[in-house]
This record gives sequence, C-alpha cells and structure tokens, in this order.
Amino acid sequence: MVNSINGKLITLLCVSFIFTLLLSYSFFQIHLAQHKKTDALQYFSALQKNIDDLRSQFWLFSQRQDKASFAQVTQSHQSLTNKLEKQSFYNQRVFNLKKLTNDMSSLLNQELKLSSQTVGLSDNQVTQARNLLQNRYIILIENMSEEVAYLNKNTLDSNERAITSVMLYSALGLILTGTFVLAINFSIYQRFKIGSNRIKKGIETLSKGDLSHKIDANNLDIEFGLLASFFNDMTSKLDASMMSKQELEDEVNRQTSELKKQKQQLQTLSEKDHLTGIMNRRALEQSLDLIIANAKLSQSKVALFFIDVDNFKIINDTIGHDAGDTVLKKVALRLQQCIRKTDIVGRLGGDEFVVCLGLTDNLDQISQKAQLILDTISQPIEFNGSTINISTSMGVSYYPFQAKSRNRLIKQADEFMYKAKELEGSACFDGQEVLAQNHLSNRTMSG
Amino acid sequence: MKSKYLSVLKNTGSIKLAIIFAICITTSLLLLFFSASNPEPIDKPTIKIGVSQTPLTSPFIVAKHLSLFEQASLNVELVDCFGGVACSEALIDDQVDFATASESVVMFKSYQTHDIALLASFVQSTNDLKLLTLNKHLSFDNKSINNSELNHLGNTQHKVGIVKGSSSEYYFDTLQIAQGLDTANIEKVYLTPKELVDALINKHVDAISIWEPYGYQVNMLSNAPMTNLGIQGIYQLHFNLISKRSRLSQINTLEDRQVNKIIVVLEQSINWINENPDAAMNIVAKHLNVPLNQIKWSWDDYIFRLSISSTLLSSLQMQSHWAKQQGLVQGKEPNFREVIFSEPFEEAKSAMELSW
Repeated sequence: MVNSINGKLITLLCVSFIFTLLLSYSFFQIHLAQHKKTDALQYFSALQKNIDDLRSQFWLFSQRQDKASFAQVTQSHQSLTNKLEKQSFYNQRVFNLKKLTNDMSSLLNQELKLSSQTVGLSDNQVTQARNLLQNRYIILIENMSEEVAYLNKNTLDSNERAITSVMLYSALGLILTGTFVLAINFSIYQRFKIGSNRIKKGIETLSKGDLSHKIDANNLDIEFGLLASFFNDMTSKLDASMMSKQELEDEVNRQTSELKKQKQQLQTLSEKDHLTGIMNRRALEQSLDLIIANAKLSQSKVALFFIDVDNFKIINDTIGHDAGDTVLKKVALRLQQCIRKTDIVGRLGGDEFVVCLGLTDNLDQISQKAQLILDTISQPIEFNGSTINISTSMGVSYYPFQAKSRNRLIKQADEFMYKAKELEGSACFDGQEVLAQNHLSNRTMSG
Repeated sequence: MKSKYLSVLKNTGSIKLAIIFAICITTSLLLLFFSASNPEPIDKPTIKIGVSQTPLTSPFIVAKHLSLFEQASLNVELVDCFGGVACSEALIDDQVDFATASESVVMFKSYQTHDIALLASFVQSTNDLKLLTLNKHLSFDNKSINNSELNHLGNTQHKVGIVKGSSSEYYFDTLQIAQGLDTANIEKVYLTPKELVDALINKHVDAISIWEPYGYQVNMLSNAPMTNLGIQGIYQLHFNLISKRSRLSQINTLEDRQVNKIIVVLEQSINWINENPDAAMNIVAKHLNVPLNQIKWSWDDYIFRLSISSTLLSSLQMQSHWAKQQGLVQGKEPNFREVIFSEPFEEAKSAMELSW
C-alpha cells in the first residue's frame, strides 16, 4: 500500500473514478440490452401480425377457393417475405423463417400450377391435391408461429442472460472496487489516527515544557513523518536556545547576591572611614544624633571625647604619610579596644577622632575612661622597625550640661581639646578639670 | 493512561469489525461458488441412446462432444445405428433405452407396438427428401407427359426408384397427389437406398425419391447435372427422440428425471449448434467420418429446434392414413395422441424457465 496519506487519497480517487465508470458502463449496457430487446420484440411482433394475416387469408382461400382470395394469400405472403428480406440486422435469426416462407412460396407455386392444369385432372385429384396443400399451409403457418414464438423467447432469454451477465460482472466489479475503497478508507483512517495521535502527544508534551521529547517518525505516513521531523527540529532548536527555569532562578539569585554584596560594600564605603575602618564623619554624626535623641528620651547623659593626635603633621612630614596612616589606623584600633559595644568611635577627619559614651548615668567614671583611653592610645607605635611615640589631647563635653546638640557638643569638646593641648603630654580636659594626664608619653618621637 | 487504553480498545474494535466484514464477504462468495457448482457423483446406470448416423442427430453428437451429458450428471452412451428403423428396432429389443427416428418410423412402429413414446422432435427439414433425376428434361406433370419433347425417350412409363414403406415412398406419393399425377404413367421400383443411387447413375431408373445424404452422393458420383423434381415444403421431416412408454412409466420418478435431463441437454446442445454452426458441422463431420462438404450440403435445410408441436401429430396422422391406403400397415390405427408423450418435455421446459 502507498506509504502516504496523499497517495492513498489519490488511489481512492482513482478507484472511485473506476467505480463510477463501471457503474455508468453497466447502466449503459443494460440500457443497450433493453433497447435491443425492445427493437427485436417489435420486429417479431410485426412478423407475427403478418403471419396471422397470412393465416386468415389462407382460411378465406380455403373457404372460397377463388382467384381473388388466392391473390390475397400471395400478397400477404409477399408482404411477409418482404418484411424478412428488407432488413439485414436479424438475418441470422430469421433464417429459419425465411426457409419456411420459401417452402410456402414453393407450395403456392404448386397451387398456381394446379389451377392452370385442372383441365387434365379429375375433380378427385384436384381435391386431393388441394387438401394436401391446405394441410401443408396450415402446418407451415403453425411452424412460422412457433418459430416467431421461439424467436421471442430466445430474445427474452438472451436479453435476460445479457442483463444477468452485465449485472454479475458489475456486481463483482462493484464488490471488488467497494472492498478496495473500504480497505483504502480503513487504512487512511488507521494511519491518520496513528499519525495524529503521535503529533498530538508530541504537542501535548511540548506544551508541558518538555523540550527533550521527540516524535517517533518510524512507520508513519510521509506527511506525518515530515510533520514529526519538523517538530523534532523545532524542539531541538528551542532546547538549544532556551534556559531552563532552574537555570534562570540560579542566575537571578547569583546576580541578587552580587547586588547585595555591592550594596553592602557601598554602605560600608559610605559609613566607614576608608583608612581606619571606623565610622566616618557622616556616619558618626548620624550615630551621635541617634544617641542624643535616645538620651533625651531616657533622660540619660552623654560624654563626647574629642581626640587629636599631637604633632601629627610632623610625623607625616618627617617619617612619611605611610607612618601617618599607620598611626591613624593604630589609634583607631586602640580606641575601638577601649570602648563598649554601645559606645561609638569615629574619625572626624585628619588626626581627629571622636568617642562617645552614650547613656551614661554616672559621670564619675568618665575620668577613668579618659585615663584608659589616653593610656591606651599613647602607647608607642611600631613602624618599619622603629618606634613612634605619640601623645594625644582630648576634650570632653557632656550632654545635656554643656551642650544639647551634636555640633555644639563636638565644638565644645574640640575647644576643651585645645585647652588640653596646652598641657604637657597627653591630657584630657572637660572644661572644669583635667580628667586624665599621661606624663610618660613623650611628645616627641624617638628612634 | 486511560485514554491510551481506550484508543487501543477502539483500534482493536475497528480491526475486529474489518475482520468480521472480510469473513462475511469471503463466506458469502464461497457459499455462492459452492452452491453454483454442486455436482452429483456419477454412479448412475448407463443410459443407452441409439443414434442414427446422420447429421440430423447432430444435437446428440455435439452434446456428447461437449460433455453436456456428464455436466448434467448423466451417464450416457451413444449407440450408433444405421437409420431410424434400426434404431427403433434396437429400442424395441431393449438394446437401447432411447432412440432417434423420423416420424415415419414412429408411425410404422406404432402399428407394431403400442409401447412407442415420442418424447420430442429436435430437428426438422422440408428439404431432406428429394425426387432426383439426372435427366434435365424429365417432368412428371401431366402436360409434359404429352409433351413431344419427351416422346423421344421412347416410352411414357417412368421408373422411379423408391425405398419401400419408408418416407421415400411417402414423399413420392405425396408429390403425386400434390401434382395430381396419373399413377398409371409411373412404375415404382423398390430398392435399398444404396441401390437407388447406383440405379439412378446407371440410368436403370428415371428418378429416385431419397433422403440425404444420398442426394449428396448422387451429386458427387454423377457427371450429369442433378435436378430435384420435388416440391420444397410439401413434406416435413422431423427427427425425434423416442423411448418405450412402459419403460417411462415403470420407474417413473428416476426415468422421468433422466428424460427431463436428456431433454434439457438436447436444448443446450441445440442452442450451442445454432450459435456455433461451423464448429458444430466440424464436430458432426468428424464423428460421422464424412467430408465436411457433405454436412454443409444439407445443413442449411435443417431447423434444429426442440419441440413437440401439433404439426407432429398431424404429420403422423397423415402418414398413417397414407400407409393404410397403400396397404403398408395392418390393423387398427394407433392413437397418435398417446404416442406423443409430451409430459417430460413440458416439465423440462418449465424447469428451464424456472432456472432463470
């Protein structure tokens, strides 16, 4: 069978065409047979009519035995002969009838001879002869009638046979072509179902997002095979060009975490001092504002230390900026070590640091704290194998006694720091007294 | 999963439907084929038919040649016999079950026995019997007898060769009557058919009344042109299938059926002959071992037709009347209506029509 739905449909078309031709041919043949039969029957019925006429003429002649009635007989006989002679189509079939009319004409000749001879014959002889001839006429007429009846029957039989054979062959042909059409139809139905099912399944799987599914093109008709291969090509290309959902999620997560990291870095960058890692001025100011606001609410006190490294410029200029940076980092680190978690430390800029002790109820401990800070940060600093001795000056201002705003607080502490600078060594001044002083430290550097 | 199962179910359903359909078609075709060809086994007793060795019995010769008897599950043996008389005697002597004979023979034999049954006529001819002469001036009518032209023959007494008590004599007598001839001028010379031909050629007789194929033989043997002085159509020869009535009534059903079958076969054979005359002539010539031309000579005179018409009865009656007048037969005229046994023919005919 053709391995293509299209091919099968074309075959179906051809078979249907043959089917139609066969049907038309059968009906045409039946029509032809009927037509032939009707023509023949009409002709034979005309012959029968003529024979009947001849019979009645003979009867008349047997009654009258005169020339006029004999002439009628001859005329009727001639008419029958003409009817048989003046056609060519039924020659074969009316051959016997022609023989009978020849016999008849031979007898009529004898009849004619007899009437011309009557002079030499006795009445008895004439009567005997006439009786004999009459008898023969009757028998011949009978034979003719029988012959026509036979022809009629034969015509009907052969017509029946012709129609039966046409019908038989048509039926066979129709059954065969019908079965063939059925088989092709069935095959198309089956093949179409198989093909459409596979394509349907493929599309269904694709709609669920499975790009790896392939339609099996084996044992499919050409059209479905093509569709399947197009589909498989399409899914392969889609599979190659498209990310999966998981991959997409991973990518988003990766980029989000990168963004978070960058955000964190940015925040760090914006809040921390890039050199020392402690709060920069902006962050420090924000934190101070927060502490002051909290202190205001809780009616607590705040102490702000303003710390400045003495002679920092000289360190920078003489030893180098690296040394200055190291000093600043070290100071920042040491400040961080001195304070609680709730306290804040930041760099205002240059060599100026701020430490704020928030939410302190007891200001008595401030001097101790000041001393701790001074002692801690005034320790000598190692730099490239040499020791840098530093001293610091600190000013302390208090909230809410000395100032109620952040700037004011800083400014106050700054002023007190300058007072402290006037003292020898590292010192801390709060406007009223020197809270701490370190004479051990050397304001100059050594090494 | 469910849908897949359903589709598989549907699939197998349609396949089953297709298989059932195919089986139905095959079974009906097989049934049709076997019902059409259901031959009965041939273990029937042999039916012997005495067949005259003449082209008139062509329907039997052709039927045998085409194996039509076998197809009708009849075990038929054709027994050759020379002439209807011999055939009918074989029938009377129970040498054969059926025989072929002209109605003249039937008429004569009906006087001998009331057992003859004429079953059907299968051929007729109005030109089988001829009154032949080699003298083109010879004429039997009264005028020509007085004709001076004929007087040089020396006498007005014409010798006519005839086969005694046969259709030959009947034909000549019929001619005599139809022509109103004076019997005084004619001398009948009784001879056998073969002798008649020689007698005519050797001019021992002026004319002979004879049937075919002797006319053909005269034509072949004689140098002079042959003339037929007869009247075509004055005599009609029928060749018939005959049997014994006692036989038919004895084993009524079986024999009747055999007779019916034989009649049906004859009808088939006749139809075949009418459709294939040339082939039929060849078959007959070969069977009778005669030249094809001899068959062709008289073939067109024959009307092969299976019938049992009233003309047969009148023909039998007329011949019987003649035979009585001539003193050829003795005793009471048989009832020819009873001789004609038309039942098997009618039954076979209606069976043939029914088969359509």
